Amino acid sequence: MIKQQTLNVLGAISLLALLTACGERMSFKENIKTIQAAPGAPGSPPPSTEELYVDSTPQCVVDLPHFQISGNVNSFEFQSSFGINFGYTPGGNYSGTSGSVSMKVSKAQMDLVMIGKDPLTRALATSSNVNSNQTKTDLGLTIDFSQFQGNPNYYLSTPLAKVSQKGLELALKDFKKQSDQQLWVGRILKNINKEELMVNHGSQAGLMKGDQFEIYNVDHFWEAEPCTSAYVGSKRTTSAPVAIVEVDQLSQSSSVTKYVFKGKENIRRGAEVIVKKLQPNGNQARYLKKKITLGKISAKPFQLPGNILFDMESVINSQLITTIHGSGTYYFEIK
Amino acid sequence: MFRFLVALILVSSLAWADSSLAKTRVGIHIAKDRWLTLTDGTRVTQGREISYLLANQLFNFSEFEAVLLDNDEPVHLDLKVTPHIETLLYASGSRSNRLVYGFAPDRVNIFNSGIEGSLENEFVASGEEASQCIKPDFFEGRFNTHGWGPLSSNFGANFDEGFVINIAGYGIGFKQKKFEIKNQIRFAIEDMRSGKKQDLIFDIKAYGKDTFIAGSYSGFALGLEIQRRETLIEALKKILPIAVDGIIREGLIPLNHKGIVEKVKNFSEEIEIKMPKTQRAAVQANALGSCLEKSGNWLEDSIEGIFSFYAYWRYKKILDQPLKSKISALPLNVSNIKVAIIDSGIDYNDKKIGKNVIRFSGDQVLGFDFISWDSRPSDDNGHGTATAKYFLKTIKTDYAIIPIKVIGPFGDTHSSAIYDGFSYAVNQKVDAIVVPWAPALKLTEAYKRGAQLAAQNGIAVFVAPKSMEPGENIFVATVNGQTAFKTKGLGKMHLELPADGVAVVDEFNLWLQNTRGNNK
Repeated sequence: MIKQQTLNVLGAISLLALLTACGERMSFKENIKTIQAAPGAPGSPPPSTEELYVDSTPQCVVDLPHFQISGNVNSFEFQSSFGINFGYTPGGNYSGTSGSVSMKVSKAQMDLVMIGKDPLTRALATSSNVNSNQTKTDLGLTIDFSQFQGNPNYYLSTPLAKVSQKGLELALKDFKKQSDQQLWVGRILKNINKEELMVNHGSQAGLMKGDQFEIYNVDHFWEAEPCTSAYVGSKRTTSAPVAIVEVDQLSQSSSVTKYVFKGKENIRRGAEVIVKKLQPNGNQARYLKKKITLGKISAKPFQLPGNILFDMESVINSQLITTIHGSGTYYFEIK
Repeated sequence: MFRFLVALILVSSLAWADSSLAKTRVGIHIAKDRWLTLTDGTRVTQGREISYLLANQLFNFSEFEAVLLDNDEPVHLDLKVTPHIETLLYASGSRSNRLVYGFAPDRVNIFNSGIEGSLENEFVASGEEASQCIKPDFFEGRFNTHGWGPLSSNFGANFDEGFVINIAGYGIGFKQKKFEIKNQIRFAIEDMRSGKKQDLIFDIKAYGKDTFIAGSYSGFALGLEIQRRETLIEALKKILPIAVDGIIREGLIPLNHKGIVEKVKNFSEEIEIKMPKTQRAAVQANALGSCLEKSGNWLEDSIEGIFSFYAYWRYKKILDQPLKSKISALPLNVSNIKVAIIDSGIDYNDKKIGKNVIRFSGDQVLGFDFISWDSRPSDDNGHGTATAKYFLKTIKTDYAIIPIKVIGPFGDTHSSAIYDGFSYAVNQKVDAIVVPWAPALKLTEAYKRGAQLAAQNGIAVFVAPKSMEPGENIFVATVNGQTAFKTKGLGKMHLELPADGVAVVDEFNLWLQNTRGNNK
C-alpha cells in the first residue's frame, strides 16, 4: 500500500514537473482522456459570476448521505428440540414442512452481510459479515408458529427476533468501527448571502452553535454527463480550506454558518464541510452523527413449521430501522 | 522553482489524501440463483450470496475497492466480475445404487437447469408423502419387482449402503451413504482498462460419507432424502468461502499485478465434508423421528438381512456390469435397424440379448445410464430386461438395441433423466424409440416433451397406452387383450413386462414388419 502511494506521488511529481514547465494548472482532463468536460465539470469554461458558478455544481453532489446501507441475510436457521432444521442457508432452504405448529426451538443463528456504499462511487465504504457462530443463540422456548399466518410481524415478538437483532447489532457495531475511520463530511447547500452559508446537516447530526468547519471546493469527475454517467472521483481544488465557518443557526436537517475566514476562491454549492473544532459539551466527548440512506436487506422467504411461508425480508428491514434508531450512531432517510 | 515546489506538495498531499486513487475498483455482478430439486421437492440453491461474500472479502484487501453491481446505475470500474454457477451436481451411492442429480455445462436441459423459467423435476414426493414418510410410486406399480425378499430382481442393488436388520416390524440398521458434490463456478472477468477478458473457473469437489441409523425401508428411503439435503447444504456452506477466497487469491490479485495473460484459468480443489457428530445425530433423529413407525414388511426385511452375503454377491457379480468380452455383440458399423429402449437398462450380458446390442469399444456397450450418469446402461430392476426378452421372443427382423437407462433399481427417476434419454436417442440417430412404460398421468411432461423432440427429428416413437396424444411419428399403443409377459433373468429372477409394455413392443413390431418386412 505504501509502495503504491509512493509510486503515485512519484508519478504525480513527473507529470506535475511537465505541466508546471508549461505554466498550466494540472487537470484530470489531461490525465484521463476518456473524461469529457460537461458544463460545470473541470475543463469546461469557468463560470463568470458567483451565482452561476455555484449553480453549475451538479445537483447530485450537493446533499449526499455518508453511506447507503444494504445487505443480504445469507442464512437464517433454527432448530427444533427434536433436531429438525428450519430456515435457509447459502445452500438452500430446509424443508420446514414437518414439525408441529407449536414447537420448542432449541437454537437459532444467522449469517448477515451488511454493506455501506459510497453514494457517488458506489464502492463499498464499509462491509461487515456477521456469521452464524457470532449469532448462535440457545433459546429453549416454545413458539406458536400458527400466529405467523398472515402476520409476519409476529416474528418480532418471538425469541427468534433476538437472533436477528443480535446479528444487526453486531453488524452495526462493526459498521461503526469502520465508518469512524472515515471523515465526517458535510456539504454546502447554498450561499445564502455574502456572510452566510447553509450546510446540509443540523441538530439531527448533533451540530451545535459555535462549531467550526473548514470548507473545501471539490472538482468531481464523471465519465460523461455529470450525475447520470459513471462517477470517476474527486479532487479538492486547494489543499488549504477556502473558508472557515461557524454554526450560527440550527434546524433539524440543516444549519446556517457564518464566515470566520474567507479565502479568494468562491464557495461552490456542494463544497465539502469538514470538522475543525466542536464546542465542548461538559466533560463528554462530542462526535457528529453520519447521515445514511437505508437500502434493502435482502432475505429469502422460507417455510415455517406447519407449512407457513415466512417473508423474512420485510421483518428484518423494519428491525433494521429500530436497531439503527436505537444505536444513536447514525441518522437516516429511507429510499 | 518555488512554483514547482508548491505544486509538488499539493499533488503529493492529494495522492496521500485520496488513497482510493491507488486502488483497483472491482465491480461484482449479483450471481443469478441456480438450484437443483431433490426428490422430496426441496431446492438446494446457490447464487447471490457468492457476490455479497466476495464484495465483503474484497473490502478487506487494501488494493481493491469493491462495488456491488446490484442495480443499473453507471459505475466507473477497473475490473468487472460476473459469477456464473455452471455446475451443481450431487451424486450418492456407487454402482447400481449411484444416483446423480443436477446440472453441468454438458448435462443441462429444460428440466434440470435450475434457473428462472426452467421446468422442475416432476418426480418428487408430495408434501403429504414426505410428511408421512410414504415412498412415492411414480409408475403405479410398473417397476415393482416380482420376486419376494432375496428373490427380487433388484436384490443387492443398494448393498453399498450396508444393511438393515428388522425385528418385529421395527427396522434398525447402520448404513453408510457416500456422496460427492461437484460445484463449478465461473468468474467472468473483464479488465475495463485493457478491454481484455478472462474466465476463472473453479471446480470444487466435496465428498464425504455418513453413517447413520435407519428405520424400516419406507422410512429409510425418505431418510436418505433428508440426508441428501443436509449434506448438500453443509457442503455448499463450506464450498462458498473457498470459492470466494480462491477467486481473490488465485484470480484477482495476480491479475491486478500482471494483467490478463490467459483467456481461461482453471483451479480445482477437493474438500472432505465431515458433519459434526451433534449435527449428524440431529439429522438421524429427524429421519428416525419421522419415519420409524412406518414399517414395511418386517419379515421380508429381516430375511433380506439374513441374506446379506447373497446381496453382496449380486451387487458385485450380477448388477451394473460392463459388457463382457465373451458376449458376441454387434459391431459399431452394423446396418441393422437401431432401436433405443428407454427403460431401466437391459442385461446385455445375457447371451441372447447381448447378440442384439452394439459394442461401442472394449467393455462398453452403445447406450447410456442417465440415473448413474455412466456408460453402463445395465438393468438392476428387471423391467428393461423383460422388454429385451420380449423383443427376442417376438421380433423376427434384424435389429440393434441401444439401451438407455432412465429408471433406477427401485423405480426412482427424475424428469431430467427421462428427457435426456430421448435427447441421447436423437443424437444417436436411432430409427425408433420404444418406451414400454409411462408414469402416472400428471407426471408426463418430460416424457411428452422428449417423445415430441424425437418425433420432430423423424424418429418413430412408441409409447405406452394413454400416456400422450398420438401424432406424426408418435405411436401410442393400445392394449388389445395382451397380458403381462413373464420371464426370468438377472440371475434367474422373476421378471415381468406388464401388459401396456407388451402392447408398446407389439406396436413397434407391427411398424417394423410394415416398414422393413420380416428378414429372419
